[in-house]
Parts: sequence; structure tokens; C-alpha cells
Amino acid sequence: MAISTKTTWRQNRDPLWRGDAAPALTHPTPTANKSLVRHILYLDGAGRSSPYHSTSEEQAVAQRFAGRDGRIYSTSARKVRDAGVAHISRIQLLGLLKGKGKGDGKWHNALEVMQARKYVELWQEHLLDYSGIAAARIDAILAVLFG
Amino acid sequence: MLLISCVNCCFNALQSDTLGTSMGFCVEHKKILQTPSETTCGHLLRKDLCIESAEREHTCHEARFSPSYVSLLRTQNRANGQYTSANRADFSGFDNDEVATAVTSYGVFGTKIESLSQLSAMNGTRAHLAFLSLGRAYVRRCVSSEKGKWTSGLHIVWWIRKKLLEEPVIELQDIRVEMALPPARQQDLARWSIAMFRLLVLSDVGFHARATSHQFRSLASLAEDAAADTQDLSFRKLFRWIREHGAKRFDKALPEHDYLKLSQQLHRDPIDQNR
Repeated sequence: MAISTKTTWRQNRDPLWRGDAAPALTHPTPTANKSLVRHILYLDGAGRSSPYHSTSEEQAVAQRFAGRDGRIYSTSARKVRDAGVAHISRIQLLGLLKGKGKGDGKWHNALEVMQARKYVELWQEHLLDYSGIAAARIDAILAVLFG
Repeated sequence: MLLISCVNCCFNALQSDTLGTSMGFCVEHKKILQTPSETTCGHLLRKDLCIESAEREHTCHEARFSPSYVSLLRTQNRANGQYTSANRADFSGFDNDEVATAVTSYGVFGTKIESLSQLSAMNGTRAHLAFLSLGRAYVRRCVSSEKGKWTSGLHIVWWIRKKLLEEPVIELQDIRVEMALPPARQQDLARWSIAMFRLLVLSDVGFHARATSHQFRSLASLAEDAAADTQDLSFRKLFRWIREHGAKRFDKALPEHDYLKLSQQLHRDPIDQNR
């Protein structure tokens, strides 16, 4: 029997939430390692570079990531698409994080793929993928997405 | 950055991603962690990774954060009284909680292995989580000491084996954070996490035994094999795998007579050895 998960988030209407530092969003690095597992499991330590921004369907999740001193930012799948940034939805992520992973979800360790999958489900995670964007355009795009 | 915060560190044995008390406790710094998702230190030993990855991440983390004090993750500043407390009066909030009392007194009234024995005998998922977290940290520290051997984890793996075929029971009050998932799915994920944590600690000890000829080294890949074979994030599938494969592999790697023999060697009185 398939296990039911919440499916009420609507791509065309509902926001995507992100908890981050209050003064500014973490800057994505378009040329950084594209591994989904590395990004989701937060490997390579604090301040590591990543071409992704994590967002959630749930404001409460963003609040946990923002912490007491942070800020909650919001955007939408439509804004992301219009800005030319790739949107990897929760459903797509769950599809890529099976076994030893597929595409950018490929990883040498099936356990770590499964842990990443668990976090995607717990945090209702969607990724914004800046990997095709010129570094010089990032600030302007962030202003449009989260401004 | 939740995953590199105190929430996901073995030295904070009162919490995991969704389970536990609202506040944490660090057995290294002997401090209550009021906002553990915002703090960290150079001791970080992640609960969710295989030991090789956890060690690699520990090295990255230690280069950035001091092990001497609790820091704020975002600013790296030293966490003050808004974030942590070592005030004994604040500990009284844990007095009526058997698991929290055992964790806050970890290694204080006896040896750490005695505290682990006490936790392993307690009922409930929070006690089991604390046992696994501190057990992982204990074995790693013993093995990294000069004369450390994989057998420092002998009793821990045996106590895990005794519970390996017991399904973790997650009470609603064990879940510490609100999630948008249906409660049944949250419980399923929490049960999966506990069952996988058991396999991870067994794998750690197998990893530490890899340089020996003992069969326990064959368990180094146990957790990863379970994930690879089950494919889906389902407690039922994982538990079936443990019943059909995991427990049998353990019993082959460490039969009871072998455990008893190694246990006797471990506890042989040094005076007896000299006779």
C-alpha cells in the first residue's frame, strides 16, 4: 500500500518559503557541485557553496531554518520560472532520490540518498536551481524572486 | 543548516530531527541547549551519516567551530545565556523525566558504559534514541584513543541486538516538532530513523573491526546494504529486511558464545592476567 503524504500544495497558487539570515539571503554559486544529496544533507560544512536554494511548502519549516534571528522569505514557482531559474519540485526530488539516486541525485551511498529523501519529505522541500545562471545576474534575480 | 546544528549531533542525545524534548542537552559541554537548531561546536558528530561521512563532516566542522564552547551557527559567535544554560536551577525542569535525568547525569555517577547500560534497559523511544546517540559517540571516542579496539563497542552492539527485532513505538508526545505530514507518516519516518540508527551504530563497530580478522567487520556495510536492498523509505520494508537478513548477519558475525568469550577477555582483571 502506498503511504499517503500531504498533496495540497498547489504549484500555481501557493508560495515557496525559505528561512535564511535576516540581512541577506545565502548567495547561490551557479558553478558549484550539483549533487542533490550533497546539498540536501548539507555536506562539506558551514558556508559551503551550492547552486541551489532550498525552499519549503510550509512556512513553519522556513521558520525553523530562519531561527530566532533570521527571516522568512517567500517566492512562487511562477516567479522562479519567469526568472529563468529551474524549479525542482518535491515530487521530482522524491523521484530522483531512490536507490543510489538518478540524475543529479546519483550518489555513492544508498543510505545517504535515503536520508536526503527523508528530509525532502519532512521539510516539504523544493529546490531552486541557479546552475544555468550567469553569476553577474544572481543579485538581480534574487531581488525579483524574493523582493 | 539544521543538519550541522546540535539537533543532529550525537552528543545531544535528547533530540533527533523530529523526536525528543523541546530543549536539548550537550553531554560534552554539560549545558542545556535552549535553541539547539541554532547552535553547534567543533565536536559535531552527525547522527544521520555513515561513520566515514560523519568523520569527514566532523573534520570540516572542527576547522570552523571551536570544540571548547557552544557557538551560534550563523555568526560563529559564542552562544550566550539566551541559547544555553549550565545553571543547575534550570536542570530541575528535567527532574521528572527519566531519560533526561539519565542523559544529564551521563558518566557523572559511574562510568559512561554504566550510563549506557541504564539507558539501554529503559523503555521508550526517547531512551533508545539517547542510548544510540551516546553509544555511537562512546565507541568512536574509545576507538580513537591510543589502545582503542572495536570491542569497546561489544556490549553496545549486543544490547542493540537484543532490541533489533523490537519495533520502535513512537508515542505522539515523542514528536517534538510540528510537521505538515499526516501523523501516521511522521511516526513511520520516525520508526524508520530509529531502526536505521541501530544499523548505523552496528555498522560503525563493523567499520572499526575492519583491520581485524573478526567476522564483525562484515557488518561495516550493514546500514548501507539495508538502504540499497529496501529502496523505499518505509519502516515496514526496512523492518522486514532486518528480520530476514540483518539479524541473521549479526548472529553469524557475533554468535553468543563469541560474545561471551570476548566479554570475558574485555573484563579480565589485570591482576588475574599477571598470574
